[in-house]
Amino acid sequence: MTRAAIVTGAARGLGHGIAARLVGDGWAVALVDQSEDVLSTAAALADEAHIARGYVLDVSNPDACITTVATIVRDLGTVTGLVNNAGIGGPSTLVHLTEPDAFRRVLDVNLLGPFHMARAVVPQMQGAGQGGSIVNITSILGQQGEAGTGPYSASKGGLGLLGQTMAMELARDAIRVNSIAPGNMLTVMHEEHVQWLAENQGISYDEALTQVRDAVPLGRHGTAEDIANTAAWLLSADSSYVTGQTIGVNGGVIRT
Amino acid sequence: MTSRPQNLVVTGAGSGIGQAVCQLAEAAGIKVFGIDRDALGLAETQERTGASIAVCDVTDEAALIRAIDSAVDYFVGPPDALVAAAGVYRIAPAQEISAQAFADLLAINVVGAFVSAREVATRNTEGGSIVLIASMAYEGGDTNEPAAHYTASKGAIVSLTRQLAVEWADRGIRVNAVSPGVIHTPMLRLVDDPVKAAAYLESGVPLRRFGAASEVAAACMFLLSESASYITGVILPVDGGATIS
Repeated sequence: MTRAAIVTGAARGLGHGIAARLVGDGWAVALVDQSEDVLSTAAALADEAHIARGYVLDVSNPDACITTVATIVRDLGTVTGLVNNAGIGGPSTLVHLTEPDAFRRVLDVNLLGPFHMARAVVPQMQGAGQGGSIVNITSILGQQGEAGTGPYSASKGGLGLLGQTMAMELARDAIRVNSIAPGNMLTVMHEEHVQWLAENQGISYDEALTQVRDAVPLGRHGTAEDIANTAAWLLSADSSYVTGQTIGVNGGVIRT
Repeated sequence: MTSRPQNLVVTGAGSGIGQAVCQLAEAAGIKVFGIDRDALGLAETQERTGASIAVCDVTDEAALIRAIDSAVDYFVGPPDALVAAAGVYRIAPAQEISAQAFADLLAINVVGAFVSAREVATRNTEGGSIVLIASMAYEGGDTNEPAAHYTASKGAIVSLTRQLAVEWADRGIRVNAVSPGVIHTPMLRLVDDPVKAAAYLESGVPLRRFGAASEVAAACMFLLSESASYITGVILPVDGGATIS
């Protein structure tokens, strides 16, 4: 039987890497993104032996989450895997200088997005009675704050706790909920953060990038593949006794 | 699919989690060298998995070094992976634990794991992965099964994991720990009382069942594999959600 999974924020970066890995593992994957690029991203992953379909959705819209998930279930069957990866970086202003609307937008996407997706996906998981696995992509910044990351850190810290709560609520249905906290990934979002670090310290972009990398014990940035491997494991039966946890995929930049 | 690990040393290979690791590793085509002080259990592991073995008490440093030398001979090369699963669990109220009993337990659970890791890392030149076994006991106290020396030993494993991860990262050696919850192994005492066990599972474990040794072993295998190549210094609970409830 084909297993179906949803990956949000899948048009590019980590989400694309996660979706590609799951497609390779034999999942029927619904790639979700607010950008229409997701349609071509999905098409490129699909062939006779592999199922991947793109869906345009802004996860901050609760009603759209409900209708899109219903469409996905109709197209691909019961969804037993959900990876909440969609997220935005948000303003790098100091917290007390941040516009409320900018703060709210980060929470709408990063924290309420996974909540809206859970409302749409969990009832059909429970109804199908096959259990399930939900993976939330948080961040090392959700484990420890850093100046200039207020809304983002708060959204990711909140998402970690939301996942723990859901793990306890859904354990009886054999639905597991875990988080992956990536460290420094070479994504567009991280490049923007490095740019901010560079400007803030009056150094070049390359110097700031080296500074970040040198602070990682394993001496390199993480890749989408690193995150995808852990997400694939958490969606698999190999992690069947793991729930409510956050796994740091960060090259040894240790936070607890 | 993944090229690593190729040569795995497992301590505590004669039962429980260590034995389950040997089984998964052999099934994955990895060469396994098992170490345990229990010759009978170790023979069973060898019979089930085809692993090469050495009977050795991890508290005997010289013997452990010789055992790992034997592993190098068997592999015809250095080990690139270790699961240090040797450990003991003893329940006793704190006021009844003698200094000697405390030190003896640390010698097995902490120093044994450290020496195993050191000896594997010393011989390893091309990167590798080490998994230590913590326990949910390190996260907090327990009045039902008091075991101050055991709890402290697992806290030490957590600190040791993080320290070795940072110290050996530039050599390409990753060090992580799996932190099991209540797992159905010979170490488990809770099953002695089925009524107590059922009540515990109902209130203390969200997934409402004991874990299997194979589920802990699967987490060890993930951390050893190339899939976890950017993961080091983490403590991965495999506890059915027990530590968040």
